[in-house]
Amino acid sequence: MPRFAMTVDEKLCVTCNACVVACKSENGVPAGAVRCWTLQAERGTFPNLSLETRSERCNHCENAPCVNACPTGASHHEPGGIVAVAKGRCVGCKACIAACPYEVRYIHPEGYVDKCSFCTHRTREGKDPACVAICPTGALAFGDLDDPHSEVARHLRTRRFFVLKPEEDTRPRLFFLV
Amino acid sequence: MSIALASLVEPGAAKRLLLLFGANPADPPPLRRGKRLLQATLVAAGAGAVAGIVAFARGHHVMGTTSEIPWGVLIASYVFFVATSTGLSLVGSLGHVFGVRLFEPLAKKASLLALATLLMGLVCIGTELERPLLLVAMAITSPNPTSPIWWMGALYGIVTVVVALDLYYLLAEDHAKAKAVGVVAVVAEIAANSNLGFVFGSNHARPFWHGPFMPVYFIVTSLVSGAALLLTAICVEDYFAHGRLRGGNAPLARGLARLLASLLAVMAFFTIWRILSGAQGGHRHVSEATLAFVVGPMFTSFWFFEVFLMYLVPFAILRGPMRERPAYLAAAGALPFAAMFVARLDFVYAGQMLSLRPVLGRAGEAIAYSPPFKGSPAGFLAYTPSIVEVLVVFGAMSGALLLYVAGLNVLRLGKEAGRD
Repeated sequence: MPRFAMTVDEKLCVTCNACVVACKSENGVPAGAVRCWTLQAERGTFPNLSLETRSERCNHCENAPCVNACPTGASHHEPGGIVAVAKGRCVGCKACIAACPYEVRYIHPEGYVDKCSFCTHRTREGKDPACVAICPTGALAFGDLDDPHSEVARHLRTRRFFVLKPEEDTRPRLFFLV
Repeated sequence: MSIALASLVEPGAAKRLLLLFGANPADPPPLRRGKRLLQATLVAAGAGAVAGIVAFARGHHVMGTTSEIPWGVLIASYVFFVATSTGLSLVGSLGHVFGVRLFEPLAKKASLLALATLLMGLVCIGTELERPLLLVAMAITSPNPTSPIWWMGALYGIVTVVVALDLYYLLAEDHAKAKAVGVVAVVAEIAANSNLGFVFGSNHARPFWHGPFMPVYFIVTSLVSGAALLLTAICVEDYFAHGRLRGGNAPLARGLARLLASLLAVMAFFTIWRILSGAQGGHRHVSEATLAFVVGPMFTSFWFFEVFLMYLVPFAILRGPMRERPAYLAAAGALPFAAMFVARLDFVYAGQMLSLRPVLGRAGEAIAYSPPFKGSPAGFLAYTPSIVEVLVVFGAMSGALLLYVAGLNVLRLGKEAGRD
């Protein structure tokens, strides 16, 4: 069974937002909502300044609080560890939104809760998620952690990385390379 | 079954119900005032029903909730109503389950009020859900036992049935079965309400809510709501019907007043330590939300409603000479009951008022966020209930009152319940 993950290279991300646009287009994300977004943060004071840039989305946690919180099992783990929402089972209670430490979910106009799905409709066919495919600098990579030849596995072996809010013990599958 | 239910209804019940809303020149002034209040309540309930239909049809577009603040006044109202229902059941059980004779006359009214508030709580949460009917189906066919909300639905579903049964056996004067079902009701209510506390307390993404004592806090606050509402009901009913507290109700009201004062003291103890430990520091979401209550934008909400109206005024009445006067006793019940609604809303909002997405740097430290409580609401996420939400809440409150009054006039509550 694969263990899908994504890496975001902060050294290569230029926050062009191509991933945001590609995601909205690929997944029909409604106006006013996003499944992924970019972030720029200045650090330090002049002249010792640095800029942290990255693209964020659902972290597809191994220990996902949203999956535990969902009363109907609409939020669930797919094979490969992707956290998905079965919209036919979602009743819109928003417990998952309240439970998510990363605020990655939004309420879809059709009444269910939605979020990044790592483009499962593409990954099932062996393709990369839309954001990974469109990224002009190659900052994003997607693959199987258990495949030693995959780009994500190689990155995590050779680069320093961090995850968001490790203290929450969610064990995210979204890694930020520094 | 229909014959059994019919025996619980007073003869001429339909006519009594109609007369409730019709003006009669022969009515004494308090009764006339009560009828006008009921007429206004009926209008409010109707407006709430229309708003509920609009919400059901249009979904979250007509709500003030957002993806950043997903739970708003309807969730707070649901908590308010079902917690009140738990408190009413538990206080009402003191008589017919635990044998405290002073409170025996309360049993039927408490059970009736518990059912009325529970049903309105379900109305609130049903309106809040995007797909309420699907939840019923999915909860049975696709349950997730790791979800505190699934357990909340299951337990309150059991509570609804048990409370209705309890009321039935009380009205049928089957004291043995009423006591047996009452015991089940007590266990079910404590399980359901403490689990409701766990829905919030288990959420470690929202530090303001997170903690092991939330289930206990919810039980204590539900007891306060129940005792307060029962005290108000006893005093107000007698006022509208007779202009004074009648003989049998006076010791009952005084007993409820003492109980309420004790429960308020316990709740004050919880509140003081929550504020002190929250303001002391630690997690930013806890300290800043707590300071928002004490010195920040929620200053008025906390100090006026949650302290002055919840504790100070009721204590002054319940422990002073004013406790001998029914009008003041009714206020001593009504004020904390009303303040509890504000407290529930404050609680639900405070857990969501800070964004979970401050910019985090490489070591996990927050490198960009606004400290929000320094005299300005900047940095706090804003939430304003929509007109639909407000109408649904007022409609639910009106619905509970109407159900209760209708029950008082239709059901065979008997002499000891204080109704002629």
